[in-house]
Amino acid sequence: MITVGQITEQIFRLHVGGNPDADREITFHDVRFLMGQVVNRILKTEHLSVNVANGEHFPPHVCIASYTATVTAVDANTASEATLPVFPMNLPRQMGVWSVASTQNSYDKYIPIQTGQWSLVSSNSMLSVLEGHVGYEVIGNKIRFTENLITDQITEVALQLLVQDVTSMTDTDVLPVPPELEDSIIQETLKALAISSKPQDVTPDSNDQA
Amino acid sequence: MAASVQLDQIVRDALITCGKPIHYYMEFLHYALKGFREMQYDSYLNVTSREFTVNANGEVFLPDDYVDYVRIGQKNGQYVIPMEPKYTFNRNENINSDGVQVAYPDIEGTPAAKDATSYEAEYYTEYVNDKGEHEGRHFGHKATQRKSFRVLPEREVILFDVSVIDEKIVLDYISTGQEPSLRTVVHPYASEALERYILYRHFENSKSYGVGQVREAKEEYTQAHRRLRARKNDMSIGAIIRSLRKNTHAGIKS
Repeated sequence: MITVGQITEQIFRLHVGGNPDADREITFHDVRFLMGQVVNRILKTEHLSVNVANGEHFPPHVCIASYTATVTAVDANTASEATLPVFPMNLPRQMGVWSVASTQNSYDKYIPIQTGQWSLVSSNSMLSVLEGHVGYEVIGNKIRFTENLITDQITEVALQLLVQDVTSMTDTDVLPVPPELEDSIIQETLKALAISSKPQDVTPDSNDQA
Repeated sequence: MAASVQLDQIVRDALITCGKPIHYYMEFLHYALKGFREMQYDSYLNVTSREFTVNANGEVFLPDDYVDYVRIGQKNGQYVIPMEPKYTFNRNENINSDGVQVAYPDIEGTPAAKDATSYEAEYYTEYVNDKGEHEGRHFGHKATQRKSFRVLPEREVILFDVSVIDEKIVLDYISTGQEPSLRTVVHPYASEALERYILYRHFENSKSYGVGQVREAKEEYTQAHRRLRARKNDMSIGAIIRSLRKNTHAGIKS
């Protein structure tokens, strides 16, 4: 297991070829941020190329991050919505939002409806009842529920999103990726750093930074 | 409580069978509801019986879940006297001069001729002697049933003969089996056929499956539906013997 700080430092040192200077254009924070972006790209590629390609639609556990979100009533208290704390991966059928459930019963999942589908479904008296379940659509950064959850005393929902938000982790947090992907993350981040343009050093000194 | 399976459970079973997450629930539920409706029509999974009182216009409003009638009759204790459909009824409403719908006048019950107060009375006056014997020579007469009905889907009513106004009738009908406010419940025999139907329709509408897989899924659904119909068929040796005996009567000895 490797922490966020350890892998960031490892990448940073590999990039500069030793101890980084204090006046470098690319900072530790930049590398950390870039590494977080690479993690999500690799996890998505891993899920699509390994799981989905083999007919498995359930993502690896390392892709799933848990959050909670506050529910607010909208449309004159006829519906409700919650705000996504982070943007999840973009996957078919909005599987990036892996599950939404009440915090009181996290196994009773709400039913995902594809964006725009509810306007078709709501006129179907049987289908729109969803066999007694609550449905939701994801619109931008909002999760919109088909009912007002507040009336059922549900003010908070538990979210499982397919994303790893490295920016919200501390340096001592363990990076939630399988060990076999650590090397790929390092290599991919270094590749991204290598293509960043390097300004010309016009100062005649021992420091090769501009 | 009789054994039953919730449609929600069948949808979840289908998701598990083909390894899909809950993001396919809506699509599968759509197929399940369609499949359930279709099976109701062919396999009579849900025959419902309800009692109504015929209103002042000689009509009864069709229930929301009505598909087709199985039997319509008059209540007689624990029995139902079956009524016959009559196709000579006027399909239109009878509107009076004030623009209000009223019942049609009782044509059959008020003969214009003779001293009889009704056709029944006229019949006994004219064709039956004082010993209660039929006098004969009543050519062209054929038996008809006065207490009859006609289903008028365009007006969503069943129109009855005016002689049954305010009387109780029993309607046995094929129901959609679906009420929007409730969870749909399915007979256990139908659960496999419904699951197969969901998978077949999903395969048919997904780009992930080839023609061969769709055909195979359709065949599996057809087989499951046939098994359902076989299970629902209550024909037995006893039923066949009863059927033969029902039409065997003791003859008059000479």
